[in-house]
Amino acid sequence: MNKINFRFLKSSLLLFFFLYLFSEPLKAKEKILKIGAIPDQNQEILDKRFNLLSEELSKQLDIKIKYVPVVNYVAAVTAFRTNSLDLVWFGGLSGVQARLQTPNSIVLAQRDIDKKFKSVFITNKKLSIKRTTNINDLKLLTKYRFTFGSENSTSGRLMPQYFLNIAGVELTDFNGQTVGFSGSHDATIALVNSGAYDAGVLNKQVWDRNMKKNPTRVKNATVFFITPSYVDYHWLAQGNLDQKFRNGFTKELREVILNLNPKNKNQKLILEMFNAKKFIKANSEDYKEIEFIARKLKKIR
Amino acid sequence: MILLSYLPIFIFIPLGFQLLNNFHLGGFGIFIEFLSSIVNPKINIEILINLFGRLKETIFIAFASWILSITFGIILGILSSDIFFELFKIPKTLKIFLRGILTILRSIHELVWCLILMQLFGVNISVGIIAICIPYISINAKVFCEQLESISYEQYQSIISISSNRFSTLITLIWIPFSDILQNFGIYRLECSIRSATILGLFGIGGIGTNILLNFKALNFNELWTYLWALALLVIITKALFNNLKFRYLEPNKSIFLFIIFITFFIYYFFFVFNFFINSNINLSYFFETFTFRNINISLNEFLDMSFSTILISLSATAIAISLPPVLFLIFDNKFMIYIFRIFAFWLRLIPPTIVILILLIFNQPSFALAALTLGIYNAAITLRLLNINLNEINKDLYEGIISFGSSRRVGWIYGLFLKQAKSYLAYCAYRSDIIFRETAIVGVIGGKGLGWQLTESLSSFAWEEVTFILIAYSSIAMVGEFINGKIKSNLN
Repeated sequence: MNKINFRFLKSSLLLFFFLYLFSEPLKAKEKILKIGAIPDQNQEILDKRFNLLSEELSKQLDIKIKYVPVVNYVAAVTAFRTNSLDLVWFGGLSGVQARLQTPNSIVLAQRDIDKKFKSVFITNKKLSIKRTTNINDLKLLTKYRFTFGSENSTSGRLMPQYFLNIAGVELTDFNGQTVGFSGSHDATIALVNSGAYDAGVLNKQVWDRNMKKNPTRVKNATVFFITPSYVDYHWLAQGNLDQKFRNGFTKELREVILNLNPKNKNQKLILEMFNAKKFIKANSEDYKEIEFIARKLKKIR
Repeated sequence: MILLSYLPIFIFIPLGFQLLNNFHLGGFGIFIEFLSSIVNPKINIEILINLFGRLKETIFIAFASWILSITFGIILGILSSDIFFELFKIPKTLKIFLRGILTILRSIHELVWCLILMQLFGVNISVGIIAICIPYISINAKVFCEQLESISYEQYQSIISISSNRFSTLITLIWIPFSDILQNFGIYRLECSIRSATILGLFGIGGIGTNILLNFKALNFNELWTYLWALALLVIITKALFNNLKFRYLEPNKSIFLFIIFITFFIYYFFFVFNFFINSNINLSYFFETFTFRNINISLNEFLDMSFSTILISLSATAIAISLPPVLFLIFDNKFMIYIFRIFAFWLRLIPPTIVILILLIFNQPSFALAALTLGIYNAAITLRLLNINLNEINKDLYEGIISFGSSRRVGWIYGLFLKQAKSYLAYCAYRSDIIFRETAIVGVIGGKGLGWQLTESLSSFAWEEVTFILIAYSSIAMVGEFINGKIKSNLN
């Protein structure tokens, strides 16, 4: 009898401990600036990039900052609309979507490279197809299995689809009457490089970085076509940050981002991780063309 | 009965044909890399810290939704049972109304609830808990209500004749079914909660699922397997822990002790979710402003086509789930192979179907067959376990008798073993097909076809009227499925 009691006590204590251990505390409401980003690249790259930035912003602005990873583009837009995120690094399309859904939000800044951003169509090397500068040659890709990046990516879906349409290609023209959505730029490279897809399209900056730093990851893939340029990524902040933190906070935040300087060792690392020389001012008007194209392709209703 | 269990296997002919048509070897390298990482998970301090944090979230979502859905499931199960309405002499229309609402609630998969609630409340752990609770409460209520219906009329009459108090009558009547259900079904639901919490993680709610998806997308297979192994351990440990507690044979003081633990956590979790509700500011006006039917971009033809393919996916997957386990048991009738199948089935139950379909997509074009196959084998892993348990519990005399008359072992297996439990197996499969109809949403959302694909596209374009339209279609398909299954089940009984 005693033995049974002991076993019972042990297992129920264990159970209690187990539940207690894994209980979330009811968090007190703290003033934290929550930063997010669209998951356009491998998570480890994003983690490093935004954790570094959070530390720097936290130091300069003297507030608590938390980087919250997000799984997909839609979740990032939703989290911004529902106030779960205060400051988000959006792409062109997702930024416009978020802005239309969150009317008070403010475009803070973009990178120097975002003014003239490009996408690159890549193919697996085993295809008998040559690099081209003629946009109409995109038709040649319809013979193959083709993948975009994320459904809501500007450089991995929206603008490439627009350029494909200019060349007279619809999404149902591809092999299998459909296209894939890899989810991110890095995934597109991996899928085309391995041959799981014959061709794909991604952000040119991610392609260039992989060519330089990870040549083995791209060894079976090659460039087919580089698109004309368009405007892309930007920082979007909630309109209520001044009330939430202190007067003039939004302005301070923008200044800190714009003044990130390659001469400072930490700040240089941050800029490198963003593949930028510096951040520059941006306005919502810069993204009018993206909005127009998105409406045309029914990504904004 | 044998025909009913075995004939559906022929669905593999059209499915296989379509799969072969879409097959290519392009992703073979990646697949090998995925497999070889099983034994080589990446472990370091950073990953372990991350893993622990993620596990905490998953366990929190799973336990909270389990405890809340069991409690409310029991309450609603009693409230919607015939006995309750008999005892308190309440008009029957109220019962029909309540049951109708419960049917609608469970006709939509927790993932779809989660996607909707995330749009309303944002990304938060509480949203995950509520999303799992909605269909689970309703499923638990149904199961508990059915259990109460099994109480015989004589039993009811005899208790009511010795007791004047209606409440004590109710408690006496439900006590035994209550403890039985907690033992068998309750612990099974905990496992379901863990799985659901993981799947919701894949769609951004947090927890271990989030990291599984992120690592899969980055093709970090070694790290992916660290998380999958951790998930396996979690399921094994929880089951071992809870299987130790045999509710029915507990002494009263121990029951009270457990009851107090249960209630404490119930109150704690309830308060947690409630607190979130109070503090959240939903912006409903945003939805009303953007909601115009002019925006619908799907033609009636496309819509019917998608609904039809959704039904086909569900039916094909059901066929696979019913017939694959008995076929495998019949073909490979030795202990070693069955052991191998059991291990394989364990992993299939564990790896979310979303990830399975992503793996299959490496060397297949998205197709109707692929979605059906994924959903089918995932559910076959569940029916296989049940069939195995059933077979082990059967008395083997008849089987040995048939063999001693000179028949082959396979004939003996069919007539001596399988046939004896075929009724209960098929009844379970009918219940399972209810779930399959709901689960079609998961595979569709990721990369198959049907309404799920359109749901992702509409959600990512924030086209709420399309989303509403699709949800109504989903819900109707699942409800019709449940209705037909109800008929089949009552025929089997």
